[in-house]
Amino acid sequence: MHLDGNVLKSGPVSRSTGGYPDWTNVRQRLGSSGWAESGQDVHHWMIPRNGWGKNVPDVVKNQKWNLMRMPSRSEHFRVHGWSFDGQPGYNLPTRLWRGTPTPAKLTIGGGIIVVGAGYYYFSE
Amino acid sequence: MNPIESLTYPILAFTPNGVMPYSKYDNLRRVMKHEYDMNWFKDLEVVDSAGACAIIRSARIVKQPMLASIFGGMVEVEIEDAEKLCEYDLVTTKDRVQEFLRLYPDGYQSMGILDELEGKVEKASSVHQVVEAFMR
Repeated sequence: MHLDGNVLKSGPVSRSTGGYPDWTNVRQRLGSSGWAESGQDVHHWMIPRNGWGKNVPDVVKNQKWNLMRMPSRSEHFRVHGWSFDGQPGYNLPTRLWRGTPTPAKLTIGGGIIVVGAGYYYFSE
Repeated sequence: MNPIESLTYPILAFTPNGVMPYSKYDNLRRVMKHEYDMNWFKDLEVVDSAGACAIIRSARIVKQPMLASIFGGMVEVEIEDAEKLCEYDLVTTKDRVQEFLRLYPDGYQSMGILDELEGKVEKASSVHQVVEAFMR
């Protein structure tokens, strides 16, 4: 129970600011559009929701490009470096690998190859 | 057999990282070294699927990988001192869990599942369902 103005309401206090890009609303839309299953953990892979990501507006960090569907809660905890039900949190290289979506890995990997090839070609 | 071993698993533990689920006793005994160093097992309250509440007063490391204190890694502990405290009913369990979620929301909040978890806890019709909400 909590007070909402002068009205006593049941249920937990909502942390939603009510705006369109607010995470609660974004997560609901992701569920209703079928992008993520109900109850599925969604990871902010590049800009975190908290920590330094608190300074980034919701409208930027709550976009699909920054979101990654996680196969399980355990995987989500471990990508954050925490243990879950007796399983260890991942080390930093594994966190980066497992917490980055495949298209981003390909883009970054492709970029490194192109830059490397360009450097090799022009340094001849 | 210590009182923690005889609980009905899965259980919830009120840890420095927030409310954490454990599916069996052996899993509860394994944490990251840096988590152990956060006084993880000092007065660690747990509530089991049947509503039994217990507290772990202390635990000591019995297995530690080489250089875990530098590079991290899992340690295994032995629970030294623990006692059973009380039986929680559904309402008390929900209140305790929600209170703890409010005190330590950071983990679940950063994962974007805090609101959903609070909703599941609110709707749960048994202590087992409250615990299951965290297992997924």
